[in-house]
Amino acid sequence: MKRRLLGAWLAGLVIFAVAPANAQTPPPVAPGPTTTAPVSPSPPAPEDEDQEALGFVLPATAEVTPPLVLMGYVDVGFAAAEGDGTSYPAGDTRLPADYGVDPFAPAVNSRGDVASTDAGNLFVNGFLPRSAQIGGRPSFLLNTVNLDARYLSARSPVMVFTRLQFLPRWGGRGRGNQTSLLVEQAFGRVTPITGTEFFISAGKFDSVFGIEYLENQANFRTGITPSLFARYTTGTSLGIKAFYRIQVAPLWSAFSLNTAATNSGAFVEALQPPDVSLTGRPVISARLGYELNLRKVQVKLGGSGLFGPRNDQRDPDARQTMWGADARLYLYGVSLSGEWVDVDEDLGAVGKETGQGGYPIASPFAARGFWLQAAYGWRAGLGPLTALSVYTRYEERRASFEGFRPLRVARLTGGLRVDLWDALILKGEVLFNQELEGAPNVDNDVVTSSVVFSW
Amino acid sequence: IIPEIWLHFDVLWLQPWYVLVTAWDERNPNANRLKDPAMMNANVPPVWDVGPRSLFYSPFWVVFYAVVPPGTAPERYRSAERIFDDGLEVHQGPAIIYSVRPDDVVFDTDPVHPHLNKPTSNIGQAPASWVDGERIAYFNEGGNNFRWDPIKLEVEEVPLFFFHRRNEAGVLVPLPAAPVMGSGPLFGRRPPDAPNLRPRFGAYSRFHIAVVSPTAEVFEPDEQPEAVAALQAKGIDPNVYKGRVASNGRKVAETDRVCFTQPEFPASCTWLDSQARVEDSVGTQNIVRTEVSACSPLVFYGGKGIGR
Repeated sequence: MKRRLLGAWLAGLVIFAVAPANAQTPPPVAPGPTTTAPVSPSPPAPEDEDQEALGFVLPATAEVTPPLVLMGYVDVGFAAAEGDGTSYPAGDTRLPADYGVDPFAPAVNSRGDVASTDAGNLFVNGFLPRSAQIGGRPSFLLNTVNLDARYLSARSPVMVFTRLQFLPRWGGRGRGNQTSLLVEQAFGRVTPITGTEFFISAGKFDSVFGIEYLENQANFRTGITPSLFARYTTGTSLGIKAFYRIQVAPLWSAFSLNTAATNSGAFVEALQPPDVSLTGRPVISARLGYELNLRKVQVKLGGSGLFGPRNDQRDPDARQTMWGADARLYLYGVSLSGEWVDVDEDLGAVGKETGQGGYPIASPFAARGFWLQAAYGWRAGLGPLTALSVYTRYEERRASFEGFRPLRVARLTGGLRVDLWDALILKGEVLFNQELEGAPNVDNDVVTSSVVFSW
Repeated sequence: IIPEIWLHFDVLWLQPWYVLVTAWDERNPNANRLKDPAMMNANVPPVWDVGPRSLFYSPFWVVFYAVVPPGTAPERYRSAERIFDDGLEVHQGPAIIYSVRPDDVVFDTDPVHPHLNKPTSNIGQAPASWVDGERIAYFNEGGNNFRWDPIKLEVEEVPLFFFHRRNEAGVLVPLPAAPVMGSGPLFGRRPPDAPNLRPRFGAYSRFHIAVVSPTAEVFEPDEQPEAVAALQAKGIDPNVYKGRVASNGRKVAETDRVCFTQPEFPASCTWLDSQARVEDSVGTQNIVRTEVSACSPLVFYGGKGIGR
């Protein structure tokens, strides 16, 4: 099933029109307490003096969003991976087994879970994603059961948001069924200055690095699987965040600054635990963004940085540093987006801790590369068929653990998305993983699909 | 000899070491080594991937013989990646110790026993191997001198006891004694496995502090002329006992008898010269595990050097 990248690129690149709206949407929270009915400041009639203290009168037909809103989705998938579902070459006994390959490559769902991380009895050192434990066997998967609750106070500029996710999984040989309840997000947000886009949040929230975190959730993501860099940039973490956006109307532009101080930065929880600081020092991250919003053209540019102690060990002087640049272009219906990321980690103290357990060594590490995505969506408006989208993504990642041979891997992803009504999304995707340098070629391509029911 | 030391490592693993052969001979795996005509038909250097800059570098290797077509260009295989990509037939061989070295770190002469002045094992010194395309020299400390788990590829450690005594202030003070190499896991009671005087232990050891009693003493020939004379009278080289610790070598109580001065010497001494004797003498509470471990292959055993 292995394909040459060039041939697959030419066969898979089909460009139509319109960007999927999801890539443009802000984080999935209301922008402020202004989504209630508009204020109508007419002087009260005598018979309305009882309501005078409220300061406004709602029109009789006004629809009022309730303060508490429950939302969510269910992501069901079917996936098949080549080989044994891992990136480990047969017969390779180099240790740690996860250092000489990219274990994140055979992804099967929007969480970035892979088909398998089973290295047999070989030692691994915690550079591993979460696993769906399907190996090389096609399987249905209940990827995520997501429950969101949002409370928007009518009397104060405060919003509270929680996101809980149930993750039913097979634990692997001899371990039985394991269902996790993940508190993906839980935060409160204050808008201290009414009428501005200035928000201060505290709790557990999305990353502020780059743009891919915007598509963390299956119902927002254009395709199915995340990029090879999502492991570094899309993790949620616990801390405080400030966001400010200012419109410059004469320039049809806006500038924004999103900054956070958190326990773990932007790495996913499988690599760095977000719920506690192991070093006692926060990780600082920020993104500076620019938007050009013309009638038929939108350009969004951003630069991101992250600095602080790596939160998979206990030495506060063992740094993790990341730099990134992102761009999005919406041009007459075509959506182009991409990101470049540079990651560096110092040698950590003895004892490494990840979201999956403890390991002996926090090795120095470096990675850099990019992803580029092109998408076209056609708003059908044909009965239940709301939209039809095709997309393709190409990415390259070069990475190395100190003393290990540097790896250069690439991936070509292509897929189709069908939106039915406003509550059902069907997606199908193919991943062609390629080991360009430093790692033996393995059969680790994936075919996967996702059905997302949302409410 | 101790070419490598680790700090804060609980486990050490074997890494793969690839030797290129043009045909597989199970009885003599090295018989068909790929040759380099440009280097006077010297063997093409072996290939391995986990370099010395990695904290997972290990001098303990499992040798794999990769079968290449005769006439293969010597420079084709300089990383394990190419061996896998070409789908070469690979056969597992023995476990062996190779320690990388800078080119200018060599043995000008074979090492000799520091007390007995006898030759020890001759250490092989190879000029080249390939690690991730980079040439690096190495020592060959031989094989079949350690145990390992064939499933987990973990090297078995044995204790290496360094003797200490508490001084009057209660502070541990090292004794000027030769350390004692264990032959199996701590308190495992495994007898020494040394067929034909080639020990299958000792190559990977963890330093342990053995706190001896106040009556223990190191035998120093220069300080015990009577004992030296007794040994010489029996045709024994006194340096054989130099640096050994006797648990009854020092007088503390009035009833203590210093074993060095007894007519039955050396039989009068309770020597702490084996793992079992150390464990029995000092007990569990006086053996302290440290965070230091070492590649420490034995080069002299049973009175003579160990052949590679």
